[in-house]
Amino acid sequence: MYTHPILPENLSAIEAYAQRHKTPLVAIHSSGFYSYFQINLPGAFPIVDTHPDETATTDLRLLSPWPELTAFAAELTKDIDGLDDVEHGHLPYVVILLHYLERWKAAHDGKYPATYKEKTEFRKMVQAAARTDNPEGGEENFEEAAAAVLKTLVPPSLPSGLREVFEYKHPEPVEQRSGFWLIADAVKQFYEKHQCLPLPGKLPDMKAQSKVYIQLQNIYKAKARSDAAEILQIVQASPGGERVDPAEVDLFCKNAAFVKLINATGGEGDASISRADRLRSAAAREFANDETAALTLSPLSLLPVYLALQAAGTRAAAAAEAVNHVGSSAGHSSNSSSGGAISADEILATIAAQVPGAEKNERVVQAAGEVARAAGGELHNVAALTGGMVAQEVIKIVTKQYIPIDNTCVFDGIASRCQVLRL
Amino acid sequence: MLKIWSMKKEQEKAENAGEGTTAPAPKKKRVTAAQLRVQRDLAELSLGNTMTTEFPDPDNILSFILYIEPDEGMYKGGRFSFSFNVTPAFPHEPPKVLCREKIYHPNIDTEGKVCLNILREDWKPVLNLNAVIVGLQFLFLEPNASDPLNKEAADDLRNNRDGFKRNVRQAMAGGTVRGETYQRVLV
Amino acid sequence: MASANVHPASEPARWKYLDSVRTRPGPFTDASTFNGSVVARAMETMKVLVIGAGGLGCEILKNLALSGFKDIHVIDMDTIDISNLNRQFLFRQEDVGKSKAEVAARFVEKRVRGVRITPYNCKIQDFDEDFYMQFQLVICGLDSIEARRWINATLVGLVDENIEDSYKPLIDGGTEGFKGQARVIFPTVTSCIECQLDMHAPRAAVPLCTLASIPRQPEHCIEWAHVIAWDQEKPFPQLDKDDPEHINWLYQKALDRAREFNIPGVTYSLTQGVVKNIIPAIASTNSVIAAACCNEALKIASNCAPSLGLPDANYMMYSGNDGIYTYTFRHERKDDCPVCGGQARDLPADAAWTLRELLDSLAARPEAQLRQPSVRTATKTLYMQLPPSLEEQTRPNLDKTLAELGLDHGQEIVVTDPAFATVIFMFKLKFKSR
Repeated sequence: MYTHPILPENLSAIEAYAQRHKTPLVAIHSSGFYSYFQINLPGAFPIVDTHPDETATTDLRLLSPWPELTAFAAELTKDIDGLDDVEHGHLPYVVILLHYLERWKAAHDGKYPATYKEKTEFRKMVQAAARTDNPEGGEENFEEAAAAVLKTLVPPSLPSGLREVFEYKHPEPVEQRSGFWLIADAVKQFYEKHQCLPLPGKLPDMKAQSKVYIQLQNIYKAKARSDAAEILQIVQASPGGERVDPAEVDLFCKNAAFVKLINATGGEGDASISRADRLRSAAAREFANDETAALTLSPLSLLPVYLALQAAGTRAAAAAEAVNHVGSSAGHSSNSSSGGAISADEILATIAAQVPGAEKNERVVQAAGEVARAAGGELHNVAALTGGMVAQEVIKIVTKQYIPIDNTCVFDGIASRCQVLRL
Repeated sequence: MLKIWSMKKEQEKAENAGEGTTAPAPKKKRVTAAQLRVQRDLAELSLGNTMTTEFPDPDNILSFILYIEPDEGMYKGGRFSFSFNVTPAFPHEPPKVLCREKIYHPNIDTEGKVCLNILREDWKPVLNLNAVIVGLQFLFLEPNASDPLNKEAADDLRNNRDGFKRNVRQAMAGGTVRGETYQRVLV
Repeated sequence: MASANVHPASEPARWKYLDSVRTRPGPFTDASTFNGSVVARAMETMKVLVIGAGGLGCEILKNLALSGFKDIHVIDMDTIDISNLNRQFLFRQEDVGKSKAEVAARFVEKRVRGVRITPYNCKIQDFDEDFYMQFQLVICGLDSIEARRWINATLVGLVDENIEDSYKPLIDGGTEGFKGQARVIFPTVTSCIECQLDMHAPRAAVPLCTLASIPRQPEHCIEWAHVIAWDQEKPFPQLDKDDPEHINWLYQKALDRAREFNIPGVTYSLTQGVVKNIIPAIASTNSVIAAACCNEALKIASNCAPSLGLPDANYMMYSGNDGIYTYTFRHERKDDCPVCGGQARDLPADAAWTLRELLDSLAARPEAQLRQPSVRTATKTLYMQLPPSLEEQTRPNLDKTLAELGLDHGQEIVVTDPAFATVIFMFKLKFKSR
């Protein structure tokens, strides 16, 4: 981790070290009401334990049930109309949906409801099956079933995060043999064979008798275990796979739909050239978005803040270097040099060299003025806020949990908001 | 100068060009949000002829007792009372309601807890006190066996409706059902 | 004033960076309210109240002290617990059991020379309006919605349209795990905490009958022990959620119940989590939210840049689960907000009138024509049309005079009428005979 402004020679030493040792680098710059920090990861960074929202993780596989689940639902509903009110009112909604999906298929050439129209029709069918001649005038479990129709009757598909993992071309073969990539390959084979991901195995709470719910929960857990075992087998059969921890396989299976790859394009080409190009294309994109921001009600880009800060940082570093070369007090350069006031015009000139034309953008001009006012000084609150965000992101990277930013976070303390940009 | 002052002045100017200044008030205790809502809710209460209220302290409208005397159904002839305590979080939290007698009812336990969806999981701030009393009244007309608090009473209601009715009469008279002695609630 | 022990010559150097921003206008500074030459002095003498000296409070006190505020007051009724030490960095092991407000105040005073911090080891409700009137700015770092609503209503209540100093900006921070919010409230001018209550998701409750008869989750077993078994068996006179013996009793009860229904997953820590409704506090989120709040405090106090609420966005939502995401927006004030919505209108009256005469005058008021009014003050029920028992109890008041009822000039009264089901009328009595 280092802070801007930094002497170019120190920066190149740090970058060389990071590259040699494959160490993530975090650059931080805070000045006045503005700040940004930038994370530079040494290569593609996969995360399994992304902690998605609990409600998003439900995969009930209602459209591709396995034999044990089908048999359980069929047994409970074989005489559905003959059930007493308590039993009927406590059928788990998973069982209700499976039962009426069978009925639907029987009436529709063996096809599941697929279109929105069919699904709403199916929902009506479920709603109509609820008993209403009771004190409550309806049944909660049937309400739950109807409410779950649109959410759960979705054919299995490959989430974008995992697709990126499957399609990722490894620049270096060493990386490919890590546990993550071995498991990813096994999951890919599993997906190609079964056309679905391993079952996460979590059953949401639903209205049901305790005993029935626990039985159903065990059916989902058992299936999740057997899917994970199948994947473990594939992993262990591959070269290097015998070293993979089965717990890592379990975790991957539970989170397969939410696995995420950060910095997927990193590592290729000459870093310095691609960085400059990326900045220019990001600027073109961001400024184009700003043209329509008022119409789309989206916030204005914070790229001007980034441009102004890093231009000021570049200027300050260059000025400090000049002092250094004269031979006066070298060493603790960054702090003293940041005090040197850099004018808004100097900032704009530097921006013009990096992103031609940007220096004429009105918001860039304002941001340059604001950065010039700070004269390289930090405001405690903005530094504390940025430090908090950096700490949070570093913890995510070290623990490989949650999803870190990719790759630059800009904070505007005047508007009180952030934007994450890939620069 | 804090900018809020200049903003307030501008806002006022925009709102009303010259309504006289208001009476300077000695600062007094303010009416709370819960009090406001309860005042409004009470004015909309429709008790019919089976319910009455009692306010031990009329100045504290957040705490009162509701009496229900069902005029039909299995609990006809009984008089049941519920304590209502409205917390400062009302209407964002439901009122706390307890049955003050020990009664034999599938949806009310022997501690007086009431299983009524809008008193817990289905409460919404748009609901009012009237919705709660309608719900309570309904519990006496249509006790519900499928999701009980008093499991024995629910089993009786489900398996032997006539037996359940007899048990209700017995319990309301202060008798014993399945080893539990209930409170006399007959009028 | 409070900077006596700092050598005067070192003051400008200490605040050099801060001064370059707060004493000079930038491109976003509103020139009409900004005066760079008085900012430093104004911030030194400004009295700022911090409510809460916990996870957010520690950060807020440190941030304010390092932002040029020198007269800071802090209220917290809690004492330091060992579990606070991982993030409440002003506290040390030997401070466990001591007052949070006092230890935090002493630490920051020692660390940042020239700052005076006055601690209050008590509840916010222990103070009256006169106490709150002395501050120019209030910052909350609380975990309770109740306390937030209380201070919000108090600050709204302080507003007197004729007194500039009665408008106290309120800055509120809150965190839950990786999520948090920072918002600025200008009482009666912008949307208040009561207007924004729908931003707090209520805790999802499980039906009582599920707990009683069909538990399915470990949480159901724990809630059963908490809500039902405890009341039936009353193992201790009063449930103390911080007493391990009490939590252990609940845990054992829940465990037995879970065994009975074959439900896996009841643990001691889950029991503690469910009973105390614990959402893990994360130090980095506290740092972000507290700093965002204090950044607003600096902007409000110095006018060197526009703050939240002036005039547009007043609410920043922060989430750090998936990357970093902020959503900064304007939450609109609610006209029917029970706290800041109805500014009381003047109601001409006479101390010699009976309550009945006052009610008749309401029926004649052109704006409302209240024919079936029910009337209360904050502490007294004057007359209620319904329910019948309350009508009967309050009927004798109709023939009493306003003076006899203890109603004074300036008294606020609340009037409801079934003809205006959703409207609440607030009036302020204005006696003629003055």
